[in-house]
Amino acid sequence: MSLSPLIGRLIHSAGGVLLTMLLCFVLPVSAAKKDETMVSQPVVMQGEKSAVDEKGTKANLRPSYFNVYLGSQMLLADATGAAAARSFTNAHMLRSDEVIYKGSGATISDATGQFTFAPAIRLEWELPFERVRILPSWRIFSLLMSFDGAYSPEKSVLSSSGNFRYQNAQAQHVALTDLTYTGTLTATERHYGLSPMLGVQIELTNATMQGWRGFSILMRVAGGVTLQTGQRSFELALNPQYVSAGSYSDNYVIKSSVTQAYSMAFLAVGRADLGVRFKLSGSLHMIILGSATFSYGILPYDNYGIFQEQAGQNKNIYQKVVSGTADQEYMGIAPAFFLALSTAI
Amino acid sequence: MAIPRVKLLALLVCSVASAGLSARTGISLGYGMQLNSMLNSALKTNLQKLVLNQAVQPLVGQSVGTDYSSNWTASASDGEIAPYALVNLPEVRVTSSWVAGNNSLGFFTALTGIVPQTSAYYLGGTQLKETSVASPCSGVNYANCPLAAMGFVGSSGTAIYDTEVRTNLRSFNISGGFTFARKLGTIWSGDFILQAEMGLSIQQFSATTQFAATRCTTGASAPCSQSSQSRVVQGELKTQSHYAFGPQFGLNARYERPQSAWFLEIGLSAVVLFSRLENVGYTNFVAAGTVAFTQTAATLGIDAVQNNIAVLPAVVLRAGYYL
Repeated sequence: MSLSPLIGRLIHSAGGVLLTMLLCFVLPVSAAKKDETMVSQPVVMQGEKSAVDEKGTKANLRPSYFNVYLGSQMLLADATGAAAARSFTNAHMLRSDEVIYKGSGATISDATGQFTFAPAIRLEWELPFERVRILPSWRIFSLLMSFDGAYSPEKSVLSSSGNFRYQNAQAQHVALTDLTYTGTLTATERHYGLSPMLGVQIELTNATMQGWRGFSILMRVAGGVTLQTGQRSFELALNPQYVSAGSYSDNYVIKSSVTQAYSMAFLAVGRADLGVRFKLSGSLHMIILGSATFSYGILPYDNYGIFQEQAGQNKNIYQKVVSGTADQEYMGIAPAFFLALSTAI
Repeated sequence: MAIPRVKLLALLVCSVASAGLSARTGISLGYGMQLNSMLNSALKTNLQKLVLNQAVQPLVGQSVGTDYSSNWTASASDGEIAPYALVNLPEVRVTSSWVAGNNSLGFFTALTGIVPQTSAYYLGGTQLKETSVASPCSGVNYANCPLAAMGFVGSSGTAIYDTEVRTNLRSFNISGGFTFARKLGTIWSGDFILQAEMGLSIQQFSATTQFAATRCTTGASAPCSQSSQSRVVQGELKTQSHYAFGPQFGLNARYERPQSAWFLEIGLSAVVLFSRLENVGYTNFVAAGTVAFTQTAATLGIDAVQNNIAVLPAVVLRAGYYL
């Protein structure tokens, strides 16, 4: 049976395409191996594409770089998150739709700023394509491997202060059916994430720019995932009030503390960078970089907390555990600015 | 005469720099185990306070104008409720180094953890016990024995519950630092290289515990023949690190063959972890489907914030490739 029809069918199938690609890689390698048996080859240092031969002649390969960045992300206000926090507050702390301990009277204001600065760090390897065996030797291209970390400080999301009225249609005494407390309600948020990413860099320079301390322009795109951990904390802190009603005479207070937390949410993340690199001394360089990171994913919040009415010294009269889960969609863009020390390897 | 450390470091750098330099970058995948015993001491205490009320914190409250207080504890009858000593440690690692002769200096970065895992599990019986001034509780005495009054313990003041406890751990850590390696010799036609490393490890972890203990007031196992007979003690505890970081020290033995891009490595490391843990949770007493009593983690004696120092040794096997 002729192989041609079989090869033709294979090439027209998806598997065939992969096989063809594989053959394209393997055949030249096989040919090269045959050549090696015929002639004496120069000694090649391991880990590089013909970096140094036995005569000490060095190929003009671009160096690899290891870069350590410090900078700051500018986290833009998350309107979706603020709306979710407001909804959560209304449902579990103000209990605006409940019959017992139905809260009202409080005005909740959005305390989120337009942006928050989050310290960020990046460790990055930069390997020219020509140094990576499996990549084409496109001279201005480099492969990027990086770990980004960002830590957002705790920021206020919602706040309210003043009067909080709680009505309880099933109170054990008529004096406890409608009480108004003074105090505050706050919601804060923080998160931090770690982002392993792979990317591609184009490094542009010319002889004139090289004369300026090896100046070059860096343009990059990268993609990966962010492993993000975060939490929102809600705190209802009201002042106790004394109620005098026979056997129910005591200091009564309503309090609530709830944490919404998620661990290692996977967010798809993409990044674009634009920056410059110049030499400080020897193999040490500095990079000044502007960056924008786009993130999208689901934040799988778990809820833990309690809403309770207490009398005297922490004696529970009513307690309602706030539990369960709440998935929230997240999409955001974080511009960032970095300074980096970059060392040629 | 002892050589000053700075001079020793300079000597190492010079010994690398004086020879012909070449550079290489390797990426490796690894799998190992971390001994979590020191960190677990805090987690175990919290777990036992949550499920067993080991801190012996009274359950207090007021119902229909009557104050009540319960002194309750529980004990596990089928082993200890405690986290596992070892946790899995998958790893991806990138290293770059300048190689000169038998020596090399370089950097490393590693990402470990990530895969969710069960870090504590208990399936068996627990005995719930309620005591009052006149120990043990018996009869209906709501003020001093509210659990007995609601049928959570029997006339003897005790009851056996079928209990399941599980803690899910999610963690990752990133570490980075410097390496110094030296080829020690040749073995199996390849090079045997010993590498020392020192760096910083930044970790994040959260442990989520959920438990449920069930019984029927008739003494039969759940499910009960009538829902009114059902008694459940259940709870949750979330322990999350606010921060966790510390220095990392490691020693790696690597085997690589000449003219091959592959290498195998076994690594030993230890992290001195400084962490702040945040705890939030509760234990509920549910009678016939209705929550009768609740104790928050704080009222069970679990600190909302804990500062902790732990030494975490680990061993990892790696297979890598030089790019």
